[in-house]
Amino acid sequence: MKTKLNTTIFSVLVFCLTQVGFANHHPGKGTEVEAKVLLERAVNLMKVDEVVALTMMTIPNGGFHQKDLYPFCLHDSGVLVSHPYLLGSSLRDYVSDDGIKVGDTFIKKAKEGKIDKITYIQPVFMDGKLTQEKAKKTSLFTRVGKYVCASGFYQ
Amino acid sequence: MKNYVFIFTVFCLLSLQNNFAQSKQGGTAEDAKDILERTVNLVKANKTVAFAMITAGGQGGLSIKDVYSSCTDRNTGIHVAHPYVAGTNIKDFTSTDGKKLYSIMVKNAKEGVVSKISYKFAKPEGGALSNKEYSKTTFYTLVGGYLCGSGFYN
Repeated sequence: MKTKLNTTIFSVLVFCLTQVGFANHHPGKGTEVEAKVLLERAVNLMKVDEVVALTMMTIPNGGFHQKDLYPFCLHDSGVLVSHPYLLGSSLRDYVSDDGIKVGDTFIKKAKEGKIDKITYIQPVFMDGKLTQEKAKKTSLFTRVGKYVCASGFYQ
Repeated sequence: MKNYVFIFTVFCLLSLQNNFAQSKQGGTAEDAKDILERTVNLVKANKTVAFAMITAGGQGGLSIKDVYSSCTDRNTGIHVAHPYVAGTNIKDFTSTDGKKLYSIMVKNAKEGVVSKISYKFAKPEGGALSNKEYSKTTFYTLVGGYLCGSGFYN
């Protein structure tokens, strides 16, 4: 009887922990090297077919979403034309919590063939939503025609 | 010992109930306005990507719960972007409460101005539009020859 009760408790516990585990699943942190590889792949694909590239960076296929990393591109107008969570949002007037004009810097500083860096504080994305958690993020960015493409990693 | 089992069971049931309630809860007017604004931005920046991402189920955060956006060619009445009925011609569509949506939207839609219309419409359930109808309010505007809108269920 006692063994049966313990088994029941164990089963209930495992079930509860599994549920909590899935709800708070964190994919792990990506590195600067991994972020740079994603940016290079994004740029390569942008040069071959812009629409395919922008689409693949947004949807969860094509291997562009790795751990907490994802490349994204914005149009010169500041509008995010590829992004897994904020597609269509404008970064033009976006100022980070530590006062960095992120979108403005991307647009003004990005140059073709050169990868630049910017570090700022921003909320962490998890399960497709911005969370209350904030972290320092460094984004590597470059220009591809009328777009700026970037890929950042959390420190 | 039985008490622990009871507490754990109640905890689990409450968690499941909460998850179920969250999944059943629909999107809001604010969600619809946000999605419409982003849709308009994206259509202006790259309409091919915009139409593809809307039709692919509102990728990139262009759908929130049961709120999604769609765009219709102003001249032909064809849904050029819609997660459930892309390609449908809505020129002759009348909702069950008698609203001729296309005519009303063509008449009122203006660039840079968001209008709204309420009507009866099916709600998405399980990846498709269900047969059951609900009251829906859609915010819409004109962008580059397309009527784009996003609505929420009241």
